[in-house]
This record gives sequence, C-alpha cells and structure tokens, in this order.
Amino acid sequence: MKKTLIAAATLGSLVFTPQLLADQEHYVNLLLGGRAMGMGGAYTAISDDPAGLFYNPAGIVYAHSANLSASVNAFRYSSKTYERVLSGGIDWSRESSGLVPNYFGVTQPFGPFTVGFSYAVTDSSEEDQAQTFKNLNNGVEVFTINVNESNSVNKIGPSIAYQANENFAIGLTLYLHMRDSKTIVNQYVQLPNNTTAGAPNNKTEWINTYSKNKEYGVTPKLGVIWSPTDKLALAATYSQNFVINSSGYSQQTCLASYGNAAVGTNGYNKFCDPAIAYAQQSAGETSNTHSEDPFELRFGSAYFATNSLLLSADLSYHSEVSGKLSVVNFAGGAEYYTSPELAIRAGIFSNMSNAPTPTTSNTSEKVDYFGGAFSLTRFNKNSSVSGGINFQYGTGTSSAVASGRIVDVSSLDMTFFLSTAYSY
Amino acid sequence: MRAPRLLILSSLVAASLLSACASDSSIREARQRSDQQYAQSSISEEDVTAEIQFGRELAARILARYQMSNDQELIRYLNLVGKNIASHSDRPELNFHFTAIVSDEINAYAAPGGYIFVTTGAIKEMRDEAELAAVLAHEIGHVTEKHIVRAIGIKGADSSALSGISKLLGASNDPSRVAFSQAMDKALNYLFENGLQAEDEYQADSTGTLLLTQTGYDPTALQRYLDRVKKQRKQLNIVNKTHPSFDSRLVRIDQLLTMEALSSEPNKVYTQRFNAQTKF
Repeated sequence: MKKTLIAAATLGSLVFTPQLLADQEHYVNLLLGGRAMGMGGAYTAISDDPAGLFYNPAGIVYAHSANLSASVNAFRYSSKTYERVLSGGIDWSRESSGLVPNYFGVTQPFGPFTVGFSYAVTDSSEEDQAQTFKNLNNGVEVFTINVNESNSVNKIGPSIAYQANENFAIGLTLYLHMRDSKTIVNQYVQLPNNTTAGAPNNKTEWINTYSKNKEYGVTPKLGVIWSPTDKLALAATYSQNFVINSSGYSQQTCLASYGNAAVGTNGYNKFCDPAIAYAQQSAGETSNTHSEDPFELRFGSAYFATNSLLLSADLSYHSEVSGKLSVVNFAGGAEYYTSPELAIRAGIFSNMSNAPTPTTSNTSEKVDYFGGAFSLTRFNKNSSVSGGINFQYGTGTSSAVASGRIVDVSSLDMTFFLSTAYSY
Repeated sequence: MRAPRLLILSSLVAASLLSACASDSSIREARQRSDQQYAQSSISEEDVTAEIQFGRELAARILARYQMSNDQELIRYLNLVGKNIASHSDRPELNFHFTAIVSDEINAYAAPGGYIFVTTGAIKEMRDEAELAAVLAHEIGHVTEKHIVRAIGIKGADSSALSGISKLLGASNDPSRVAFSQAMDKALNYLFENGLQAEDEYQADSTGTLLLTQTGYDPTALQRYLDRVKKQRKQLNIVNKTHPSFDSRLVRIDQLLTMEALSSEPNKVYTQRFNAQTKF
C-alpha cells in the first residue's frame, strides 16, 4: 500500500511545466556578429561594421569601407543537468546542438547618412532529453521521459544612422520580431505487479504534452555614439520589443491502463483525470497570451589605444516587468593585432536570469551564467575570416521539474562560430 | 539648487572642451585598425586592374556626354605633352591616354587609370604649351593621388582562398555588381555635379605644379592660366560648381611657389610649338 502511494505521488510530481522550457529568462543566449562575438558582446561603442546595425546603429557611420557585408554561421551546443530530480539521487540531463545562421548585415553610406539592413538570430535552441530510468527507489519500475523543445527568435529590418557633427552620431534600427517556440514532452510510467487483492498489475500511464507559440512584433533600437576624444567612444542604446500578435496551441493527452474503478476503492491513483475511465485529451488555442517584454538600456565605452589594440566594455539593464525581475549584465572585450593579417579577440560577459528565486510554492528556474569569448581573425585585402568560441557556464536552482521540490541546476553553453566579412 | 546647476554647467564645459579635441578625421583615424591601414597602403595588381577598368568605363560615360575631337594632330600633340609629364609621375604602372573633347566649356576631366580629357574651349584659352602642360598635369595629379579611387573605394577582386571562403559563406555575391553601378554614378557626380573635396583640388594643383616643373615647363603656367580664365564665368559653369574658388586656388599655388622657391621661366613656355599644333 505504501509502495503504491509513493508511486502515485511520483507520477504527479513528474509533470512538466512546458512553457518554462523555452529560455526567456536570459537576454544573452546567443552573441551576434563575428567581431562582437570574439569580444564577448562588448560592442556598443564600437559598432563600426555591419554588426553595429544590431548593437548600436549610430556606430555604422564609422564603417571603414563604403560597402560592407558580413555573415556569421554558428554551431551551438548546450547541456543542462538537473541534480537529484528522481528519488535515489538520479539526475536529469538535457542536451541541445545545432547549426544556426547567426547574423547577416550590409551597410551603405549616403552622404552624412548610412543605411543598412540586417538579419539577426538572437536566440536559437533545440533541446532534447531522452532518458529511461528503471527500478527507482520509490517503486516505479520504468520511467521514460522524452523532451524536445525548440525556441528561435529572428529579427530582420532596416537601419539608418546620421552623423550629426564631427563627434556625435545617432542611429535607429527597426526590427521585425518573430519568435517561434514549441515543446513536446512524453512521459511513460510503469508500476510493478501489485500484491493487493483486486488491484490491476503492471499499471502504465503515458502523458503527452504539446505546446507551440508564435509571436510577431517590432523592436526599435535607438542608439547614440559620442567621441569626446579621438581614442575614446561612449555610446548608449535604448530598445524594447513590442509584441503585436501572438498565437498558441496546447494539447495534453493522457492514457492509463487502469480505470476509474480502481481509484479510491483500492487506493490507486494516477495522474490522468479520474473522471475519465481510460484516456483523455484536452486541447486549446490561445491568442495574445505572451508575456510583457522589458526595455533594454545599454551603455558602452571603447578605447582605441592604438591601431593594434582596442578595449571595450558594456553595461546593460533590462527593466522589471510582470513575472520578470530587472537584470544587469556586463561585458568586456579586447582586440589585439599581432600583425596586419591576424587579430586575436577575447572577452568576458554575464548572462543573469530574470526569474524570481524558486520556492516550493513558486514554479521557477533561476540560473545565472558567466561566460568567455575567444576568436582569431585572418585578414586579406577585401575580406576576413574569423573562427572562435563563446562559452558560458551557469548554476542555480529550479522548482520546475520536480514540483514541490527545489533541485540544483548546472548548465554549459558553447557556440563555435565562423564569420566572414567582405568589403567591395 | 546651485550645486546641480554648477555640475551641469561644468559638465557642458568639459564636454565641449573634450569635443574640441576630436575631429571627424582624427576619430576615423583612431578607429582604423591595423588591417585596414595595411589594406589602404598596399597596392596589388588586382587594384590597378580594377582602377583601369573602372576608369575605362567612366571614360566611356564622359565620351557619351561629349563629342570627341576628330583633330588627330591635336590628339597626338596632347598625348606627346601629357605622356611626357606622366613619365615623371609616381604611377609608372599606368598608361595615360589624353584626348580633346568638343565643348566651349573651360574644363578638363580625369578618370581613374589615366584617362584624361580636356575641352577645346579650355585649349582655346591657352597661350602656350606650358599652360596646356599645366592643365594636363593638374589632371594627372588627380590620378596619381587616386582622388576618385579613394573617394569611392575602388579595389580589385580578391582571388585568394580566404576571399573564396568569404564568398562561399555568403558574405559577398550580387551586391558587388550593384556597388559597381552605384560607384559609377558617384564618380559622374564628382565630375559633373558636386566635385571632389576642396583639399583634393588643392592637392592636384600642387602635384601638377611640381610635375610641370620636373618636366621642364614654366612653374607658374597653371597660376597664369587660372588667373586669366577665372573671369569667364559663362564657360566655367561646371568648374565653379565642382572646384573651390579660383582665388583660393591661386593663393595656395602662390604659397607653394614661394615655399619651393619657384619663379616664372619665360623661356620654358614653348609658344610657337603650341600655336603650330593648335589651330582652331
């Protein structure tokens, strides 16, 4: 009797909260632009190449060539471990990997104006979990969990920058924002034969949860850049995402090998709705149920020490909105040319969570990341090729995977990138 | 209340003082990275080829606008004088071409790669070969200093493996063709509408005067010619639109002559030869 009650409790506790899987708790999931990626994203006061269209549109007035284009392709790998989720101290682990088209941008000057167009993938993940556990301490004979979650945020749009005077420029990028996320969770549980009289044997239960969400909006980004001296640049940007329309669909299917009759009378419980004898399915569409997005205020400085050495630093602030706490992130970067043909770049950055601290009564996941960046760039006359890596490691806690219990989480995220720039 | 005001005021003063230290060119120079400096200073065979091809295309556009003179003797003469001057320039890799275009305007044009045009109206106003040489030397100066090449950023195709990788990964494709067309429009704008930067014209005057002297002509020929034609406003419509004022150019040429200790050399003007070759 005790064994089955434990098993029943386990079934209930293993249910996910799918919307927590799509990572909207962090703002630096993917750095953009070859040079900026190498410098840890500390790029607001530099921004003098096509990546500037994303970081600070004002900076593109300083693009060194009349026509520039740049593209970045990245391979992203991430892994996350939830510690001691199942009884007996068993961890859950999820992995994600995939190629992502990171960034493409072009710029073109027209007198005191510079215009540009860019496409940025600000987030892209494809997270997988496929684990089977047998003979758990709490009496569950087989527990299988499959999770597939994808989340991508694409931004595309034009920019314009104006050099107001010799040392001051202003710029605006207007992005069309598109987010597409989908989560599929499959859970299968099998209990052992039961010795209680009248109870069914080998009870099984399968739960499938499916949810998807699409949203469209606009993200204006206003930037200024000021050069108080030749070698020093100070910059600031303001941006906010406004979701205009969103639509979603969710579905839950539950299938149990034992029916309502067993519930209560013999003390057996299950996660499926006891009012339905054998199986149930619920589905529904949602519209405009997106969460509010904060505004971002970003400050940057860059020191062009020599034509071989550049140092930069950024500080960003995301405001507090409903369900999301305010966040402050930092980034620092350096660029050094060992020769006119070879540059080394390195950087550090933070990626703090906007989620509240998880408690037993509050479903949440809070993981704060700290990361590093490194890249090498080989230059030729009109072109350059960069290869590098961004990595971030975070630890925190989660109450989203084992309801009612807080577990420790650790996560590693690595992005390998190959970027090219071409002037013509 | 007084303290914040003082703070704002002092911040503004500090900002304006700091701002005064930074000019656009010095900011851009500080931002220029090692690879960009190297790319600008090095000239490859592909760059020269691109310059010549671009200049040839621009020359065709100029000839679509003006009728080329069919006076073969005059053209031969222009080439003899012009190539002699060009042989003293620092662009030995270029083969300069000189021709006359039929127009009453007083003007001359230079396309990258060494394509030089002078109007028959400008030649009519010349008194001697030194003045013709001076005008041609000014245009050669635009080519040797790469004024249009730099303003537009004409660069040769990069056939290296690295460039191939860039193209393969999508950083360059059709936009380069669009850019060529846009660059041609820009070059025509420099020649006929808005002109190059004033500093470029002063530099062409300076380079031209020194080339003229090195070749063996009267160093003051350009100064004489400009001083004489400056009052003919009707024929100088385009020049007045595209060049700095004649007076400012004459002041700078005078400063150059003084600095280089150059003076008039009447025996190096070759009037008779000029008159014999230019019969309008």
